[in-house]
Amino acid sequence: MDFTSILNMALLFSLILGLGAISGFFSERVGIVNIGINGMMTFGALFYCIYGGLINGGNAGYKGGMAGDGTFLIPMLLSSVTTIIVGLLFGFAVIKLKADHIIAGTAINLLGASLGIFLNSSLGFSILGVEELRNSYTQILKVGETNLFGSTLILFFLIGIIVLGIWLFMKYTKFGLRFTSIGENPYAADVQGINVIKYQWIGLIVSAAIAGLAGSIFMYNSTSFRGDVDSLGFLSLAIMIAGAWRIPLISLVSIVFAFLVSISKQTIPNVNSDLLLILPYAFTLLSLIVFSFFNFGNAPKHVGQHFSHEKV
Amino acid sequence: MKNSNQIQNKLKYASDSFFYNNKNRSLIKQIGFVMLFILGSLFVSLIIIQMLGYNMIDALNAIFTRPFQSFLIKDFITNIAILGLSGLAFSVAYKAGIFNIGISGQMVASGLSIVALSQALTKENGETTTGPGGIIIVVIVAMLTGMFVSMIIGALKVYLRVHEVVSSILLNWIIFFLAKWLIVEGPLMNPNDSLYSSGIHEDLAFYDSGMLSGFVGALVSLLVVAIIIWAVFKFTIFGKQMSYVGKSLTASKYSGFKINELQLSAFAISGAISGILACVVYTANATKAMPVPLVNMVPLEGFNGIAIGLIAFSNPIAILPVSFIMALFSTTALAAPPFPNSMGNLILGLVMYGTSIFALAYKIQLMTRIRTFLSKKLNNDFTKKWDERVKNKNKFLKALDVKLSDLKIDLFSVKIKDEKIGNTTKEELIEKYLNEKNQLKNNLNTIVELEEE
Repeated sequence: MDFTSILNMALLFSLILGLGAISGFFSERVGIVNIGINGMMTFGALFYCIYGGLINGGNAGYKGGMAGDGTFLIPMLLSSVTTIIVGLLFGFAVIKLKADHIIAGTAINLLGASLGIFLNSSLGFSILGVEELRNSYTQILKVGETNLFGSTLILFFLIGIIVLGIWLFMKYTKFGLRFTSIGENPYAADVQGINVIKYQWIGLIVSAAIAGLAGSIFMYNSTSFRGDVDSLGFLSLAIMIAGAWRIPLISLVSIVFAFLVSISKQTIPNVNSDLLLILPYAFTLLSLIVFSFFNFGNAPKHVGQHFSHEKV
Repeated sequence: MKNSNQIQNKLKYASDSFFYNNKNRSLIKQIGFVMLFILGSLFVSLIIIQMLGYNMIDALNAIFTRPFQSFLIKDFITNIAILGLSGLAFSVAYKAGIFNIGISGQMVASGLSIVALSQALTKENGETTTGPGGIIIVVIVAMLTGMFVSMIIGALKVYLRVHEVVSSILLNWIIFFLAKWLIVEGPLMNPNDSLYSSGIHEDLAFYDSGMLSGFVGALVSLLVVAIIIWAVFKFTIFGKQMSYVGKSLTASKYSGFKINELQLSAFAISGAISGILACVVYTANATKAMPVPLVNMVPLEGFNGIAIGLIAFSNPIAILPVSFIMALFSTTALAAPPFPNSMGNLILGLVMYGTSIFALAYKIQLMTRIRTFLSKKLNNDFTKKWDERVKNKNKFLKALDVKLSDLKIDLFSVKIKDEKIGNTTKEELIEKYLNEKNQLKNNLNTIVELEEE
């Protein structure tokens, strides 16, 4: 068993899951159930492939630019910003037109998957010159003789600091507290003079951007784009709920889960690899059951409902 | 003559009360909108296909003719059943306020039980101990397995407050990896075929080698399940209570419903339908076995069910036409050269998005907007009159006031001048006044009515 490759994989995997879950956090804290995280992540992965191909496709042996493997953060940021469009589409449905959150979210998921699959080959040809979209970056800055990469560490610590910042911001600033209050009781917030709709839009925009980033990190960790992110968006949703809608707990759960999955993915002699992969899921389910006795976390009270002045 | 008039009146009454009562009007509106949006998104996807260099007319032709060709129609019907059953499994739970994202997992678990049962019931000489009737046992066992899995999720939700979305996603993956092991290396593997699990005996399958398909069993199970579910929600107290739990948990709690039992039964029914779905998915085609998953991905049937159920507004009868239309696209996706395989997927995705945002069109009051748009743009008599009436409302009301006060003055002066003005007597004046008052009142009422509309 190679510990460094487990570490490398676990760090990236925990970033994908953690960011996916924090994306869910941002929308649920303003009372919007975002079941479309998976779709948004798929869009993020798609955009990452496109930007990555345009910027660095040549270095990876395809058509496209030759900016070097060190520029991997640029397509990630671009794809994160572009995914905001999907968030706006979702927001238009659920905030402006008060559509059912679940229906709109499912639509985003379906749209992500179908557009991803459909555009895969034609965009692959026109951007990369190969029959499907691919990750144009290879991980860089290998640490010594190990399988750990510096790029992974940079990403992990960078995003770790950002997440810490988000947590402090949400916990100690006026903005963060107002933000949280909207998921609990938007009418009370409204009476206080807080612009509920504005905060909901901000929540969804941030949610989409973070989901897009998660999707692009997923792509950074894989080779070819298959029109999906292996349903990790749904798993992130599960982790968000398991993390009781709290950032520290979400981060902890995603890191532990990622390590469990990475360890289970190693080949151990005489043990079936598929059976081993059951472990992280079973462990999460068991810990959820155990936590349920302590009444650990409650969902934002107004989640899944619409806010409108007419109702008051 | 009189009789025929009576019958005509009765028919008119019946048709009017059907088409113009509020409930049906909104239903007809809803259905119309869904159809409009399906067509709209089909159009959008055809435009995208055209932009990518294919002929959209050919594509349209393929969608509406290929599924009905003799070599595909059986698959087409099986597809309808698969989409319909998954939609039904989702809708039952959704009606009771439960989001069952674990249909795929329940289906895979049932599939495993079917394969295992087939192994147990098949003798060494290749015959089954049950004979052709064994399919009934298979369906029952599959239903029980699906129920068992969904009840685990249900019990976790009801008694331990574990969110059903999390537990079903986790269970999906647990069952998926378990199934993969069982099929690839475990007791359910097929030593001669690396792509499929050990086979299901024909006695225990929907597949009929005479017809080279299992579409009859698939279609029958879809129709039976749809009708039963419809009847349960339409006619039984149990069904009504279940849907009230979905509509308002607190209200049903205060009404004394047994919420835990109702939610658990919704889970159970949903799981049972997933079991039937497994029978169709795994035993109705020629392979009669569970496929070995090539990538680590939970089967998509359950997720498609969510979309179908939501498009059909969880109405068991509406699920039938919706799954018919969706099956058109997904069947074309399977066999449509020269178009890419993903064409059907794209149309499916866009149509599902379109129908999902149908709800939005409803909320932006599409019809009202179209009407106002038309009234502004088209300068025909009707709209002109309408506009003038609305615009002149205030003017009209002022005129009314003035007229009424004038008449009062008239009457007043009559009193002074010996009950006569010129040639008109007091009675005549009062009559004139009342007439005019009534007329004005009527006009005002029509305006108010028109505005309310």
